[in-house]
Amino acid sequence: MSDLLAIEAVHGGYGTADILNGADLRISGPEIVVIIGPNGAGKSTLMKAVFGLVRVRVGNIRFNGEDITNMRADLVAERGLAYVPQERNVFPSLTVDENLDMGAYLKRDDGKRKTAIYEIFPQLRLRRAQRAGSLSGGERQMLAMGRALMIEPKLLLLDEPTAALAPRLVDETLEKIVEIRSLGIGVLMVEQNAKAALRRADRGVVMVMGRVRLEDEAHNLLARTDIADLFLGA
Amino acid sequence: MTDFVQLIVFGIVSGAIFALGGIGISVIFGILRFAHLAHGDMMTLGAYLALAAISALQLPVLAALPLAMIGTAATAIAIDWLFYRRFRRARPVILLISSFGMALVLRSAIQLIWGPGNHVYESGISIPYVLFDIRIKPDHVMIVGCTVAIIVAFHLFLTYTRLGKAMRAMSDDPDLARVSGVDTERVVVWTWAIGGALAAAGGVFLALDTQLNPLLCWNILLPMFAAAIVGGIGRPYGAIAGGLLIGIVEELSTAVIEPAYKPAVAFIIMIVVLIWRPTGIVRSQT
Ligand SMILES: Nc1ncnc2c1ncn2[C@@H]1O[C@H](COP(=O)(O)OP(=O)(O)O)[C@@H](O)[C@H]1O
Ligand SMILES: [Mg+2]
Repeated sequence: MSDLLAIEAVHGGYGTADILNGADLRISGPEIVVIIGPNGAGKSTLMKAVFGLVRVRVGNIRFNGEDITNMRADLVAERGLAYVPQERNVFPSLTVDENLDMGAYLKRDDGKRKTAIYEIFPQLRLRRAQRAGSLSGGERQMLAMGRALMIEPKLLLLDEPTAALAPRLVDETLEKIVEIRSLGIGVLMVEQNAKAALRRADRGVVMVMGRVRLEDEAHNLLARTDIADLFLGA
Repeated sequence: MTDFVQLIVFGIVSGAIFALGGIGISVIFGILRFAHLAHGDMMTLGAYLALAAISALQLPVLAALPLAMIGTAATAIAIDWLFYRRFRRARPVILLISSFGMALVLRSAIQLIWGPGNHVYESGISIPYVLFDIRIKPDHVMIVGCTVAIIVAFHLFLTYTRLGKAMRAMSDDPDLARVSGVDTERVVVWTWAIGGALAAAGGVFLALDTQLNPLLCWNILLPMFAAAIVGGIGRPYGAIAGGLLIGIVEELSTAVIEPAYKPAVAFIIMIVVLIWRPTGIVRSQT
């Protein structure tokens, strides 16, 4: 079976020192895969590497069988990958509507997709004429995901989508992610709320010092006490 | 009172010219993150291209204007393609210095082609309209009218077109724009096209109001940068407000101090505004 995304033995980083040290990861289809691991493990760096925002020195990244290693980010997006960075994930001076328009930059929208996004995130519709910079943390995260979905991606990369959210919004956001998967979109997400995320995920990977140390079905990871002690919190 | 209004009229005219240059400086900074020191000379080039069109094709100034805008836009794109593009990943100071070099290149080219002396578009004097004792030159009406039309067109472009939105998005966050699928190099080309076209308009208007010479717009680089900075650099609407503010205050200042101090006036406005509101007069949206 060919993978949707295949990251193979990737080494790379920002300057001379590699942050990624042989990272391997595969996603086969519309599944939810959660990346957990300590701070500084290179989880965010791995996502940036997929989008050509961090240089891959050795190794390769394929999407739908095509080599996308070090490809320009806009061309990666064109191939059906969407990415929501952890911070700075909306255009603050653009309105909510215009942020969604930016998601439709590649594939023009006749209004249907935007309507669909507003159905998934009804709060956004109320703020459609408001500048994204004035939104709350939760609304911003929804807008960022909405913008990414406007691309009609096959795979969505989310970097800590619940990090800036009030506790009551964490579950709501994770449920939205399950809803997104049910649309046939794969989701690769980094999550600090590891337990809550793994409960809704298909698989989980543990990343330490720039490589994937462990990979298993989500329910297996949840059941392992050693993992729980190290990464899942009390 | 009449003098006061008369000075405001002059201020609006020079404010319009500062705004046209300031918008380009602001947009280029927003997209490429460097201060484009060759902007004044790019405007001067536009003024001379209009002169060439006027003398070669016997066109009126208004008909030469779009040709000068297209020619300068094309030159700006070519300069970026040949020079600035190579420094895309370099530190901003490298681009700053290379744009200073480009300013000298443009000025020398202008001197080589058109000579160091003065030129005018049309000789002869025009009769000013008189309105309640205020004298308004037909040229000034044309300058302000064209500037308003150009700014409205620019506003519609930024607000409603896919490319205009991409431009604003890129000036907010270039990486996020790329991730959203924006071909940022294409946006850069359009940035130079717009910056160059508006620069040419500003240059033609200043030449119309004064005389052409190779230092024409280099001389107003300071107030134009002040306009862009006062308005909040990277925010083109701010540059319009900044341009008008500086144009009007500079003219009014001539009622009390020597006109030679105009550049100092621009500088003082800039400092005062930055103390009062460090991000510029147009409110930050983040
Ligand atoms: N823009 C950057 N420039 C240089 N080093 C960076 C940059 N971003 C992150 N790093 C370094 O890369 C390492 C991994 O960071 P990151 O991928 O953000 O970790 P994680 O997301 O797993 O917490 C850290 O040591 C961090 O200091
Ligand atoms: Mg991170």
